[in-house]
Amino acid sequence: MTSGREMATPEILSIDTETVTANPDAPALRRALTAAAKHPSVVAAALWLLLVGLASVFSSQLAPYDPLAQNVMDSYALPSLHHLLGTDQLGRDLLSRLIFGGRGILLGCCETVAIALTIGVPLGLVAGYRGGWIDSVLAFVVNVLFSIPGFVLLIAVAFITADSLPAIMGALGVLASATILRLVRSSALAVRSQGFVDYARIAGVPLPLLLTRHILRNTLGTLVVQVFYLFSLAFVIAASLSFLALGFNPATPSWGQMVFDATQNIYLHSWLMVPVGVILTATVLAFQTIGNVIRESLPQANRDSLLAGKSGPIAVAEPWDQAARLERSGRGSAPAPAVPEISDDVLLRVDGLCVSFPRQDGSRYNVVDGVDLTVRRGEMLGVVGESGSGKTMSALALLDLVPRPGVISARRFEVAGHNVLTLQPKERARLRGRVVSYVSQEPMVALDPCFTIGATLSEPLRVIRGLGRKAAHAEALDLLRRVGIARPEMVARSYPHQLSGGMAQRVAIALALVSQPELLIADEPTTALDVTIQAEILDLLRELQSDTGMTVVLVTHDLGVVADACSHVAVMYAGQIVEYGAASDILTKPSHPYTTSLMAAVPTAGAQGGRLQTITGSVPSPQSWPVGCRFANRCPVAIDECSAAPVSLQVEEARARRCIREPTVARLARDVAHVVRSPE
Amino acid sequence: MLRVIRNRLLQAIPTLLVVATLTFLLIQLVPGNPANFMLGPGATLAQVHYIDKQLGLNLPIYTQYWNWLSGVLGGHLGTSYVGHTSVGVTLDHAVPATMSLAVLATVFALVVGFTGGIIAALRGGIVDRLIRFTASLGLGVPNFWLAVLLVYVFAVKLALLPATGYTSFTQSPKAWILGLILPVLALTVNNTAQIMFQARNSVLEVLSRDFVRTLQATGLSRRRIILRHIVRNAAIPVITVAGFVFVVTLGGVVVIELIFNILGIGQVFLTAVNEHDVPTVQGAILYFTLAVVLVNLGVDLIVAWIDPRTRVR
Ligand code: SF4
Repeated sequence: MTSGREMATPEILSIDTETVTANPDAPALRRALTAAAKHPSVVAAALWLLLVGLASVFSSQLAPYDPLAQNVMDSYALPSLHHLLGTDQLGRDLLSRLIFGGRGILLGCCETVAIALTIGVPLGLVAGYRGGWIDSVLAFVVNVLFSIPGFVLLIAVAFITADSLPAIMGALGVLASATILRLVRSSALAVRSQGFVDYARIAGVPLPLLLTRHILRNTLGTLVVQVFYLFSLAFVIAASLSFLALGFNPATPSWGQMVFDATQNIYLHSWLMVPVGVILTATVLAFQTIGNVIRESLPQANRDSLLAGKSGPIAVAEPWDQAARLERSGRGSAPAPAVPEISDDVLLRVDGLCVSFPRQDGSRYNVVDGVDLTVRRGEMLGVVGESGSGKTMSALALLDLVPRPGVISARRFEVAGHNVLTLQPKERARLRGRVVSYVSQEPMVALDPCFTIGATLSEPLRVIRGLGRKAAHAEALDLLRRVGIARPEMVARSYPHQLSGGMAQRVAIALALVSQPELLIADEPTTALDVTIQAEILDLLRELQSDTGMTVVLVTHDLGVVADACSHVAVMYAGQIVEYGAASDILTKPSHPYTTSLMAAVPTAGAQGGRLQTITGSVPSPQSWPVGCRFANRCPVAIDECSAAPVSLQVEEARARRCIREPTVARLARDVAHVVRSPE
Repeated sequence: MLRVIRNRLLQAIPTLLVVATLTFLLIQLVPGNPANFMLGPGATLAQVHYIDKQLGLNLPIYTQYWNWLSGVLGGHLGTSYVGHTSVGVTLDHAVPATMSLAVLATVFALVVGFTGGIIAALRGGIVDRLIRFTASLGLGVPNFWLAVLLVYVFAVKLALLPATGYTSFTQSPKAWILGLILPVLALTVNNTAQIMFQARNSVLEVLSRDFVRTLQATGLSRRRIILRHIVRNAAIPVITVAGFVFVVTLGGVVVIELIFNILGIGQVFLTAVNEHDVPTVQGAILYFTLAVVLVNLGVDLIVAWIDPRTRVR
């Protein structure tokens, strides 16, 4: 299930996965199952399976005729009131034969699945959890099982056991247990590396309980899906066997055998094919459908596409810009630019930038809500805020790379002299790399794992800058040198997974520099790195900026980074800018309670244990923004008036703030925060 | 890369040995004495003993195993109990037909399934739903039933294609391909559907990876990113699944060969099973296993070639 909110706020999601230490998958599975159960195709599939199952159990009661009763006078009858589905070559009632014909096959499927689970699950758990030689031995066994041509082996088993169906389907179960084993093993391995299993172990949870409770529960989603696929596979195989008259007594009807009978009469009596074909197809389809829908309902299946579509133009108007509209009708002045009028040295100018996502009912809500920004050439602007403040979305909007189905709108959007609002999607795409470029948060996944660093850098050099193969290679090495990589030849030959995080981030920066952009947007470029590396990367960015005169927008949640590197800072909260100004100014004299609280949350040198102060509560989600000040529920100096009406951004000289109380009061928020947070 | 190839080859050998041994042991479980089957119910004890001695069945089991294994390693799969012909020769004759079927079916599934999956994932909406619906149907239809249907429509009603039989490529390439169309189609529909689903899912998964965004930010075109980067990354799981699909196809071959009366390994195997022709059964299983091991090896190598992360192990 993808709710609009999950799609719209990847920042919120990412913090969730970071902070969750409890078992995350169990409620997700329940949610997935409930979601799947509402799906009409799943309902239909489940009903069909129920029908088939019941018919097989109660065949003697349900069948209108004895499935073996022959009546040569009435052979090959087409459907009629006497024989609803007609009769076969011996005049036996087809419907009755169908009702009886599924029993053996379905029972066999159940046996296969049961055996596969009984063998695969415990061994998989042990292999994944214990590792070591047990794992190696089991890995070899799995390898062998995967190398056995399954169906051929089953025929051999039929041969050895004189057509014993339980033995054949049991053998299939053993073969299939390899799949289950592998699946459970890899989940167990993954879960084991997460913290909570260690906690549970230290807390003295006994091993079997640990394995089943914590690890198994985590794989349950994929396991359920696999079981349905396995049912479908076993069903097809059992039917094929019965078609070959292996494992099934020719005297009792079975679906495969009925297909075989039909083949013998295909030339003259093709109707025989139809009923049994429908039953076989529908049953396989039912198993597959349920498996597929559950699979798609699992959380891991629902990640959003990051590939920008061939979307239309960015909306010039602001159809979803409710806040701006309210603002104009409500208190305060109309939104005004945060700095004096535009001049030549302004590189980026956006007014009323919004990013909206659709709700399930088709209406839209904003995650970025009327952001105004002006960035001059050579500036380094820090955009600061907690997760969920909309800072990353704003940054992506500047690149026209908002994930689908997000929509960007703005009143004004100009980069390096281009009026983005009037550009076609193709032309906007041409700005990327050449004018605006991007460095992402996670360097380890930001590069295509299939290509060497050299190839990754050379591609845009050749395609966009039009260099030849050799020139591109030389330029790639040069770029690597410029981002401070000492042995560029070696790095160029490496693959991304062979690099350290810091090294990968340097490469990512080099990649962003390929087309000599004027504006570099760096989205939390240091967050995923070690502290020492963080400083190095920041130094590098600063250096590149002073060398090339490039302009940088640095998105971060860390005011320390801003203090270190930025000339200007915009503080964002709940999709809006709440304070803007020169970094030195803001950091010494914050005038918005949120900025003040953020500063109080910065771990100062000497404080033990890292983050001592955090702001209580969290950013309200985009769909539940209040009418008044969005920070009101967490603001230590809030008063009733704050929640009454939207608060607009007030511009005073080179600064701007969105708060109705005096700056001096706002500054108090810091001390109040301290009082609130320290009970002693 | 060379080291990878060597390592995988070395891994394949013990697997093959284990499977061969299992095959041998499995056949030992067959109840009754092959001599009885060969001679029929009226055989005297002396006759049975004579045959046993001829076939080496009176020797202790480990000697039999050793004889068999050294034979296999030397390329002698033994002599058929029934036709008294060399098992190796019989199987070698049957290989081209079976391989034509299985390889064509897998290649078709890979090409059509991958393309369909990519289109479904990228287009989304109604195209996606249409492709997925078709694929679901393809997944549901049992191949033996489909085979009969195809024969009925294309061979019986429309008389466009031959209903049965196999012509070797060297005899007549045209007859070869015409004869293969229906059986390959019957075999491949399930596989195509399966690969289609896998391809769709892996393209969607790749689309959600950060590097897609990085590449776009460098200014590369959407088309280029899809063709060079997304398809390549998505191919990794698709190739793996194609390997599984090939193994399943080998099973399907047994049934399809029967329906279309194609004399491939599947037919040889089925006949041998019915006639209790132990050496032929063993040999056929060995051939099937060899095909599976080779395909798994090929899959590993292709994946290692595409995905540098798997090369280390
Ligand atoms: S407007 Fe009120 S609630 Fe909002 S930040 Fe200012 S003081 Fe706090």
